[in-house]
Amino acid sequence: MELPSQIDLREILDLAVAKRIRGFYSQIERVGAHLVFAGDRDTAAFDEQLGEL
Amino acid sequence: MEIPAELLQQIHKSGYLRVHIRPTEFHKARLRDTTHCHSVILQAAVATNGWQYPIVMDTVDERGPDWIAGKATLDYLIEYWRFFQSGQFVHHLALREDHWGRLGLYHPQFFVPAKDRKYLSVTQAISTVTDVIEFGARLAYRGVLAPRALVSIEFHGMAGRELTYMTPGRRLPDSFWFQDESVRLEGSYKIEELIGRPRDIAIQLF
Repeated sequence: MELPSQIDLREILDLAVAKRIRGFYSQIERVGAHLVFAGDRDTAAFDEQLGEL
Repeated sequence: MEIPAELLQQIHKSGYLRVHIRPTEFHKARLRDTTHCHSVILQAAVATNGWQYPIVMDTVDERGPDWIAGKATLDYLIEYWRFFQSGQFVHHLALREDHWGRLGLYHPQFFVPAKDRKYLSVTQAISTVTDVIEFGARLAYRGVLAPRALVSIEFHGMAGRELTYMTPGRRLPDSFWFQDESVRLEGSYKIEELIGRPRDIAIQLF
């Protein structure tokens, strides 16, 4: 039996991660939640402070 | 929040710069109060070209619930800045080159502007960008911008504006002008980087 190369293993890992992320997104869609990232919250707070300036 | 509309209109009538410096993380009271804001900005202000950047007085021009502001309306120095307790700093300043022309301050021995032509002085622009980055480094040194700083410098009213040294004997090898109305220089820096090599960053930005 031929052993998978390092690249093959990485691809398998990528696929596993992609599947988990897809699962996570479908769960978000089911409950109707919105993703909020910490960076976006900071930017929004700075923008609000700045107003038209 | 009251915006000084009249002063901003005056600044935006000609070419102008908008400088924006802030940390990546928002904390409403990084600085204890507006008195602390004033003390930090007084210590962080720089002067590499005979003028302070930003122009800060011993007393605060304007004060809000969580910010202080400063302004200048002197001949070709037309500026407005605001500094928040969160560490956010924004500055609108008129391009001095336009007002030197308006006030007839060019000495014919040094520079004769062509009619209806707009200019950007190479040395003035380098000096301003260097001042802005050095000012950012000094804010970072005082812990205002941790863990990372965002710096942007926008030039407005640029389309058709010619780059020049404005001094006799120094010439660019060709005629260069800006093709777009706005030009934006921006970067995101770790505070150690900003404190450690502000001049390199200024050169890279420019």
